[in-house]
Amino acid sequence: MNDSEFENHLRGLLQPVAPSAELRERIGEELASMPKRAAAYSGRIERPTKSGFMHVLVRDFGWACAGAAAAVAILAAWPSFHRTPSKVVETAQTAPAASAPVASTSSPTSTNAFEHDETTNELVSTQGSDQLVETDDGPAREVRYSYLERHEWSNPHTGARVYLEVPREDIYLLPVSLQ
Amino acid sequence: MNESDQPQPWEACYRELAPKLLLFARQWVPTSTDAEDVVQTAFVKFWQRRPDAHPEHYPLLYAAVRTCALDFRRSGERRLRREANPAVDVMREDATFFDHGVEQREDAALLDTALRELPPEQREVVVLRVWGGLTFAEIATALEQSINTITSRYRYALEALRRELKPYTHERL
Repeated sequence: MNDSEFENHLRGLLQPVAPSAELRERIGEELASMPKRAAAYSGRIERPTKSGFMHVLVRDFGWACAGAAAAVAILAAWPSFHRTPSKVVETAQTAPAASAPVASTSSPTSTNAFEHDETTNELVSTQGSDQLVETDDGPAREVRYSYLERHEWSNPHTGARVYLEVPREDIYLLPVSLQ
Repeated sequence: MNESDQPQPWEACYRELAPKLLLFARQWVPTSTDAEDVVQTAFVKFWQRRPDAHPEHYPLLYAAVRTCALDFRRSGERRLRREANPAVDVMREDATFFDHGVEQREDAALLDTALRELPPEQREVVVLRVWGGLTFAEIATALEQSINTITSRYRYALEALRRELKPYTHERL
Protein backbone atom coordinates (compact mmCIF):
# COMPACT_ATOMS: atom_id res chain seq x y z
CA MET A 1 0.00 0.00 0.00
CA ASN A 2 1.64 3.27 -1.07
CA ASP A 3 1.31 6.56 0.80
CA SER A 4 -1.62 7.80 -1.22
CA GLU A 5 -3.59 4.59 -0.74
CA PHE A 6 -2.75 4.59 2.93
CA GLU A 7 -3.97 8.20 3.24
CA ASN A 8 -7.25 7.25 1.60
CA HIS A 9 -7.49 4.30 3.92
CA LEU A 10 -7.04 6.55 6.97
CA ARG A 11 -9.50 9.06 5.60
CA GLY A 12 -12.06 6.32 5.16
CA LEU A 13 -11.62 5.03 8.67
CA LEU A 14 -12.29 8.26 10.52
CA GLN A 15 -14.19 11.42 9.78
CA PRO A 16 -13.96 14.71 11.68
CA VAL A 17 -16.76 15.56 14.06
CA ALA A 18 -19.22 18.02 12.52
CA PRO A 19 -19.44 21.37 14.33
CA SER A 20 -22.54 22.18 16.31
CA ALA A 21 -25.26 24.15 14.61
CA GLU A 22 -24.70 27.05 16.98
CA LEU A 23 -21.12 27.60 15.96
CA ARG A 24 -22.03 29.00 12.56
CA GLU A 25 -24.58 31.34 14.12
CA ARG A 26 -22.11 32.51 16.74
CA ILE A 27 -19.49 33.26 14.14
CA GLY A 28 -22.02 35.04 11.93
CA GLU A 29 -23.24 37.17 14.80
CA GLU A 30 -19.76 38.06 15.93
CA LEU A 31 -18.61 38.98 12.45
CA ALA A 32 -21.71 41.07 11.90
CA SER A 33 -21.38 42.90 15.20
CA MET A 34 -17.74 43.83 14.85
CA PRO A 35 -16.63 46.83 12.85
CA LYS A 36 -14.63 45.98 9.78
CA ARG A 37 -10.98 46.66 10.17
CA ALA A 38 -8.93 48.23 7.46
CA ALA A 39 -7.39 45.72 5.11
CA ALA A 40 -4.16 47.61 5.48
CA TYR A 41 -3.64 45.82 8.76
CA SER A 42 -3.13 42.52 7.04
CA GLY A 43 0.40 41.46 6.49
CA ARG A 44 1.96 44.03 8.77
CA ILE A 45 4.20 43.08 11.62
CA GLU A 46 4.55 45.91 14.06
CA ARG A 47 6.86 46.27 16.96
CA PRO A 48 4.99 46.34 20.25
CA THR A 49 4.53 49.82 21.61
CA LYS A 50 3.66 49.09 25.21
CA SER A 51 5.20 46.15 26.98
CA GLY A 52 8.51 45.06 25.68
CA PHE A 53 9.38 48.32 24.00
CA MET A 54 10.92 49.93 27.07
CA HIS A 55 12.73 46.72 27.81
CA VAL A 56 14.21 46.64 24.32
CA LEU A 57 15.00 50.35 24.44
CA VAL A 58 16.83 50.14 27.76
CA ARG A 59 18.80 47.12 26.68
CA ASP A 60 19.76 48.65 23.32
CA PHE A 61 20.69 51.88 25.02
CA GLY A 62 22.91 49.89 27.38
CA TRP A 63 24.71 48.27 24.51
CA ALA A 64 25.11 51.60 22.75
CA CYS A 65 26.52 53.16 25.92
CA ALA A 66 28.96 50.28 26.34
CA GLY A 67 30.19 50.73 22.79
CA ALA A 68 30.46 54.47 23.16
CA ALA A 69 32.34 54.10 26.45
CA ALA A 70 34.81 51.74 24.83
CA ALA A 71 35.34 54.13 21.94
CA VAL A 72 35.83 57.07 24.30
CA ALA A 73 38.30 55.08 26.39
CA ILE A 74 40.41 54.32 23.35
CA LEU A 75 40.28 57.86 22.07
CA ALA A 76 41.17 59.18 25.52
CA ALA A 77 44.21 56.93 25.58
CA TRP A 78 45.35 58.29 22.23
CA PRO A 79 47.53 61.18 23.51
CA SER A 80 49.77 58.75 25.40
CA PHE A 81 50.63 57.14 22.08
CA HIS A 82 51.72 60.49 20.67
CA ARG A 83 54.25 60.88 23.47
CA THR A 84 56.01 57.65 22.58
CA PRO A 85 59.77 57.95 21.94
CA SER A 86 60.95 58.64 18.44
CA LYS A 87 62.44 55.19 17.99
CA VAL A 88 58.98 53.72 18.31
CA VAL A 89 57.86 56.06 15.60
CA GLU A 90 60.62 54.79 13.38
CA THR A 91 59.64 51.21 14.01
CA ALA A 92 56.13 51.97 13.03
CA GLN A 93 57.29 53.67 9.88
CA THR A 94 59.21 50.63 8.80
CA ALA A 95 56.27 48.38 9.47
CA PRO A 96 53.16 50.33 8.62
CA ALA A 97 51.07 47.23 8.25
CA ALA A 98 51.51 46.19 11.87
CA SER A 99 48.20 45.48 13.49
CA ALA A 100 49.04 47.22 16.78
CA PRO A 101 47.42 50.61 16.95
CA VAL A 102 50.59 52.70 16.96
CA ALA A 103 50.12 56.40 16.31
CA SER A 104 53.07 57.42 14.24
CA THR A 105 53.86 59.83 11.49
CA SER A 106 56.78 61.29 9.64
CA SER A 107 55.77 64.80 10.46
CA PRO A 108 55.25 66.02 14.02
CA THR A 109 52.54 68.37 12.86
CA SER A 110 50.40 65.59 11.52
CA THR A 111 50.56 63.13 14.43
CA ASN A 112 46.93 63.77 15.18
CA ALA A 113 45.86 62.96 11.68
CA PHE A 114 43.89 59.85 12.46
CA GLU A 115 40.80 59.93 10.34
CA HIS A 116 37.64 58.06 10.79
CA ASP A 117 37.30 55.70 7.87
CA GLU A 118 34.07 53.90 8.28
CA THR A 119 31.55 52.36 10.62
CA THR A 120 29.86 49.17 9.63
CA ASN A 121 27.08 47.29 11.29
CA GLU A 122 27.01 43.70 10.20
CA LEU A 123 24.10 41.40 10.96
CA VAL A 124 25.75 38.21 12.13
CA SER A 125 22.78 36.05 12.92
CA THR A 126 19.09 36.00 13.66
CA GLN A 127 17.49 33.54 15.95
CA GLY A 128 13.76 33.14 16.39
CA SER A 129 12.30 31.50 19.42
CA ASP A 130 9.47 28.99 19.21
CA GLN A 131 8.12 30.19 22.52
CA LEU A 132 5.31 32.73 22.48
CA VAL A 133 5.50 35.56 24.96
CA GLU A 134 2.38 37.17 26.36
CA THR A 135 2.41 40.94 26.04
CA ASP A 136 -0.25 43.60 26.46
CA ASP A 137 -0.61 43.61 22.69
CA GLY A 138 -1.20 39.88 22.50
CA PRO A 139 1.12 36.95 21.89
CA ALA A 140 4.51 37.77 20.46
CA ARG A 141 7.50 35.81 19.33
CA GLU A 142 11.03 36.67 20.43
CA VAL A 143 13.52 37.21 17.62
CA ARG A 144 17.19 37.85 18.46
CA TYR A 145 19.38 39.84 16.06
CA SER A 146 23.14 39.76 16.64
CA TYR A 147 25.20 42.53 15.09
CA LEU A 148 28.89 43.34 14.98
CA GLU A 149 29.60 47.06 14.88
CA ARG A 150 33.01 47.95 13.53
CA HIS A 151 34.53 51.43 13.74
CA GLU A 152 37.74 52.06 11.88
CA TRP A 153 40.28 54.90 11.92
CA SER A 154 43.50 55.24 9.95
CA ASN A 155 46.44 57.54 9.70
CA PRO A 156 47.02 58.28 6.02
CA HIS A 157 50.65 59.25 6.63
CA THR A 158 51.78 56.12 8.40
CA GLY A 159 49.17 53.63 7.32
CA ALA A 160 48.42 52.78 10.93
CA ARG A 161 44.91 51.59 11.45
CA VAL A 162 42.80 51.30 14.54
CA TYR A 163 39.55 49.48 14.68
CA LEU A 164 37.02 48.75 17.34
CA GLU A 165 34.52 45.94 17.19
CA VAL A 166 31.46 46.02 19.41
CA PRO A 167 29.08 43.08 19.54
CA ARG A 168 25.47 44.08 19.82
CA GLU A 169 22.32 42.10 20.31
CA ASP A 170 18.77 43.31 19.75
CA ILE A 171 15.78 41.31 20.82
CA TYR A 172 12.50 42.18 19.19
CA LEU A 173 9.10 40.96 20.22
CA LEU A 174 7.19 40.44 17.01
CA PRO A 175 3.44 40.09 17.40
CA VAL A 176 2.11 36.85 16.04
CA SER A 177 0.25 37.97 12.98
CA LEU A 178 -2.30 36.26 10.80
CA GLN A 179 -0.87 38.15 7.82
CA MET B 1 -32.74 40.00 -2.57
CA ASN B 2 -31.97 41.55 0.77
CA GLU B 3 -28.26 41.99 1.49
CA SER B 4 -28.56 39.95 4.66
CA ASP B 5 -29.99 37.02 2.67
CA GLN B 6 -26.99 36.84 0.39
CA PRO B 7 -24.34 34.34 1.43
CA GLN B 8 -21.38 36.07 3.01
CA PRO B 9 -17.89 35.25 1.71
CA TRP B 10 -16.95 33.62 4.99
CA GLU B 11 -19.81 31.14 4.80
CA ALA B 12 -18.33 29.14 1.93
CA CYS B 13 -15.09 28.96 3.84
CA TYR B 14 -16.92 27.87 6.97
CA ARG B 15 -18.85 25.14 5.16
CA GLU B 16 -15.67 23.77 3.66
CA LEU B 17 -13.33 24.06 6.61
CA ALA B 18 -15.29 24.02 9.86
CA PRO B 19 -15.01 20.26 10.60
CA LYS B 20 -11.35 20.27 9.63
CA LEU B 21 -10.57 23.30 11.75
CA LEU B 22 -12.44 21.75 14.62
CA LEU B 23 -10.42 18.56 14.35
CA PHE B 24 -7.21 20.55 14.10
CA ALA B 25 -8.06 22.60 17.21
CA ARG B 26 -9.19 19.51 19.07
CA GLN B 27 -5.61 18.28 19.32
CA TRP B 28 -4.70 20.92 21.86
CA VAL B 29 -7.86 21.51 23.82
CA PRO B 30 -9.60 18.99 26.04
CA THR B 31 -13.17 19.22 24.84
CA SER B 32 -15.09 19.70 21.61
CA THR B 33 -16.76 22.73 23.14
CA ASP B 34 -13.39 24.30 23.76
CA ALA B 35 -12.40 23.47 20.20
CA GLU B 36 -15.48 25.29 18.93
CA ASP B 37 -14.56 28.33 21.03
CA VAL B 38 -11.08 28.27 19.58
CA VAL B 39 -12.35 27.93 16.02
CA GLN B 40 -14.80 30.77 16.57
CA THR B 41 -12.13 33.10 17.91
CA ALA B 42 -9.66 32.26 15.16
CA PHE B 43 -12.24 32.37 12.40
CA VAL B 44 -13.56 35.77 13.42
CA LYS B 45 -10.06 37.21 13.79
CA PHE B 46 -9.04 35.85 10.43
CA TRP B 47 -12.06 37.20 8.56
CA GLN B 48 -11.79 40.52 10.26
CA ARG B 49 -8.26 40.94 9.09
CA ARG B 50 -8.79 39.35 5.71
CA PRO B 51 -12.31 40.14 4.56
CA ASP B 52 -11.18 39.39 1.00
CA ALA B 53 -9.59 36.03 1.84
CA HIS B 54 -9.26 33.41 -0.88
CA PRO B 55 -8.60 29.67 -0.60
CA GLU B 56 -4.88 30.24 -0.95
CA HIS B 57 -5.06 32.14 2.33
CA TYR B 58 -6.71 29.26 4.18
CA PRO B 59 -3.45 27.82 5.53
CA LEU B 60 -3.20 31.04 7.53
CA LEU B 61 -6.57 30.24 9.02
CA TYR B 62 -5.14 26.97 10.28
CA ALA B 63 -2.22 28.96 11.69
CA ALA B 64 -4.70 31.23 13.46
CA VAL B 65 -6.52 28.24 14.93
CA ARG B 66 -3.26 26.81 16.16
CA THR B 67 -2.25 30.08 17.82
CA CYS B 68 -5.64 30.50 19.46
CA ALA B 69 -5.66 26.89 20.63
CA LEU B 70 -2.24 27.23 22.22
CA ASP B 71 -3.30 30.50 23.87
CA PHE B 72 -6.44 28.84 25.10
CA ARG B 73 -4.49 25.96 26.50
CA ARG B 74 -2.14 28.33 28.29
CA SER B 75 -4.77 30.45 29.86
CA GLY B 76 -7.38 27.79 30.61
CA GLU B 77 -9.66 30.51 31.88
CA ARG B 78 -12.63 29.80 29.72
CA ARG B 79 -12.42 26.12 30.42
CA LEU B 80 -12.48 26.71 34.14
CA ARG B 81 -15.45 29.03 33.67
CA ARG B 82 -17.35 26.46 31.68
CA GLU B 83 -16.62 23.64 34.07
CA ALA B 84 -17.98 25.79 36.86
CA ASN B 85 -21.26 25.98 34.96
CA PRO B 86 -23.12 22.67 35.41
CA ALA B 87 -25.57 23.54 32.65
CA VAL B 88 -22.92 23.08 29.99
CA ASP B 89 -21.94 19.59 28.98
CA VAL B 90 -18.23 19.05 29.33
CA MET B 91 -16.61 16.15 27.55
CA ARG B 92 -13.85 14.35 29.34
CA GLU B 93 -10.28 14.81 28.23
CA ASP B 94 -10.19 11.38 26.68
CA ALA B 95 -13.13 12.17 24.42
CA THR B 96 -12.60 11.27 20.79
CA PHE B 97 -11.23 13.59 18.12
CA PHE B 98 -13.47 12.01 15.53
CA ASP B 99 -17.05 11.18 14.79
CA HIS B 100 -18.50 8.82 17.38
CA GLY B 101 -20.68 6.82 15.03
CA VAL B 102 -17.86 5.88 12.77
CA GLU B 103 -15.45 5.30 15.59
CA GLN B 104 -17.43 2.39 16.95
CA ARG B 105 -15.56 0.17 14.55
CA GLU B 106 -12.54 -1.52 15.97
CA ASP B 107 -10.19 -0.36 13.26
CA ALA B 108 -11.28 3.24 13.61
CA ALA B 109 -10.75 3.10 17.35
CA LEU B 110 -7.31 1.66 16.75
CA LEU B 111 -6.44 4.54 14.44
CA ASP B 112 -7.81 7.09 16.88
CA THR B 113 -5.61 5.64 19.61
CA ALA B 114 -2.59 5.50 17.32
CA LEU B 115 -3.09 9.16 16.42
CA ARG B 116 -3.18 10.16 20.06
CA GLU B 117 0.08 8.38 20.68
CA LEU B 118 1.90 10.29 17.95
CA PRO B 119 4.11 13.18 19.03
CA PRO B 120 2.04 16.38 18.71
CA GLU B 121 4.25 17.85 16.00
CA GLN B 122 3.78 14.73 13.87
CA ARG B 123 0.09 14.40 14.62
CA GLU B 124 -0.73 17.93 13.50
CA VAL B 125 0.98 17.32 10.17
CA VAL B 126 -0.96 14.09 9.60
CA VAL B 127 -4.24 15.73 10.54
CA LEU B 128 -3.63 18.66 8.21
CA ARG B 129 -2.54 16.42 5.37
CA VAL B 130 -5.00 13.54 5.59
CA TRP B 131 -8.12 15.17 6.98
CA GLY B 132 -7.37 18.82 6.21
CA GLY B 133 -6.38 18.08 2.62
CA LEU B 134 -3.52 20.58 2.68
CA THR B 135 -0.42 20.27 0.56
CA PHE B 136 2.98 20.06 2.22
CA ALA B 137 3.68 23.66 1.17
CA GLU B 138 0.44 24.83 2.76
CA ILE B 139 1.18 22.89 5.93
CA ALA B 140 4.63 24.46 6.03
CA THR B 141 2.98 27.88 5.82
CA ALA B 142 0.44 27.08 8.49
CA LEU B 143 3.00 25.69 10.93
CA GLU B 144 5.82 28.10 10.01
CA GLN B 145 8.23 25.27 9.33
CA SER B 146 10.26 24.25 6.30
CA ILE B 147 8.79 21.81 3.82
CA ASN B 148 11.60 19.38 4.57
CA THR B 149 10.68 19.39 8.24
CA ILE B 150 7.04 18.85 7.41
CA THR B 151 7.69 15.96 5.02
CA SER B 152 10.01 14.29 7.52
CA ARG B 153 7.45 14.55 10.28
CA TYR B 154 4.80 13.22 7.96
CA ARG B 155 6.94 10.27 6.95
CA TYR B 156 7.70 9.36 10.55
CA ALA B 157 4.03 9.68 11.49
CA LEU B 158 2.86 7.56 8.60
CA GLU B 159 5.37 4.87 9.47
CA ALA B 160 4.15 4.84 13.06
CA LEU B 161 0.54 4.58 11.94
CA ARG B 162 1.38 1.78 9.53
CA ARG B 163 3.04 -0.11 12.36
CA GLU B 164 0.03 0.33 14.63
CA LEU B 165 -2.50 -0.59 11.97
CA LYS B 166 -0.48 -3.36 10.40
CA PRO B 167 -2.45 -6.26 11.88
CA TYR B 168 -5.67 -4.78 10.63
CA THR B 169 -4.48 -3.82 7.14
CA HIS B 170 -2.93 -7.25 6.63
CA GLU B 171 -6.16 -8.84 7.58
CA ARG B 172 -8.21 -6.66 5.26
CA LEU B 173 -5.95 -6.45 2.21
